[in-house]
Amino acid sequence: MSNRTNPKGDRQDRERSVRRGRKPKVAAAVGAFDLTDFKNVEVLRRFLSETGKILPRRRTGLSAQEQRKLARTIKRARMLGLLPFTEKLVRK
Amino acid sequence: MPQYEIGIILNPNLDGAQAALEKEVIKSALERYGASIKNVDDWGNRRLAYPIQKDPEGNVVFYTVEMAGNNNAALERELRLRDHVRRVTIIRDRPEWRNSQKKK
Repeated sequence: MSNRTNPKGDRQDRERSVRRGRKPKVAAAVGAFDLTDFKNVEVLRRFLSETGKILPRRRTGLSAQEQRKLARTIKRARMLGLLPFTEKLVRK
Repeated sequence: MPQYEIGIILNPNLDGAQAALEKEVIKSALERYGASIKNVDDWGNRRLAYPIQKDPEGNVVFYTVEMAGNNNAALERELRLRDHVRRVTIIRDRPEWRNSQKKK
């Protein structure tokens, strides 16, 4: 965190810095799992966005190699109808 | 011999005897292609993520199988010919890789 004093945007800055980093990476939240197991639907589902897209690495926290393997696994599960290709976006 | 995982989605509207018959046919087809079945994982009727053949459910069965890998395509083609079989995937299963790929 910066020590820069900014009387106007102080509160905002603090709020933003608290907000950032609150959401843990998905892989960290899930713990150990098999990257190649396409039958493990409950875990794989957490790597999808609300609309069914595969989350990017900055959200999953996987290495590039792991991310590629995960993507392939998810696509296999999709072929069998275990995971969605798309999901309707529910507006709140 | 390499190990494969075969995922099959059957028509969920079959009654018990029909489903058993269908699985029997699949099993005999697998054996005809020289596969030795190591494990059968039957998930039963299950809600799918999207409808397949306008049906939101599917009867999901997984076979873990050891077979020579030279006629997978033919086996897949033959399984697909059955009317009640809606999806077939044959995927190489490498249990020896699993540990190294486990996260943490």
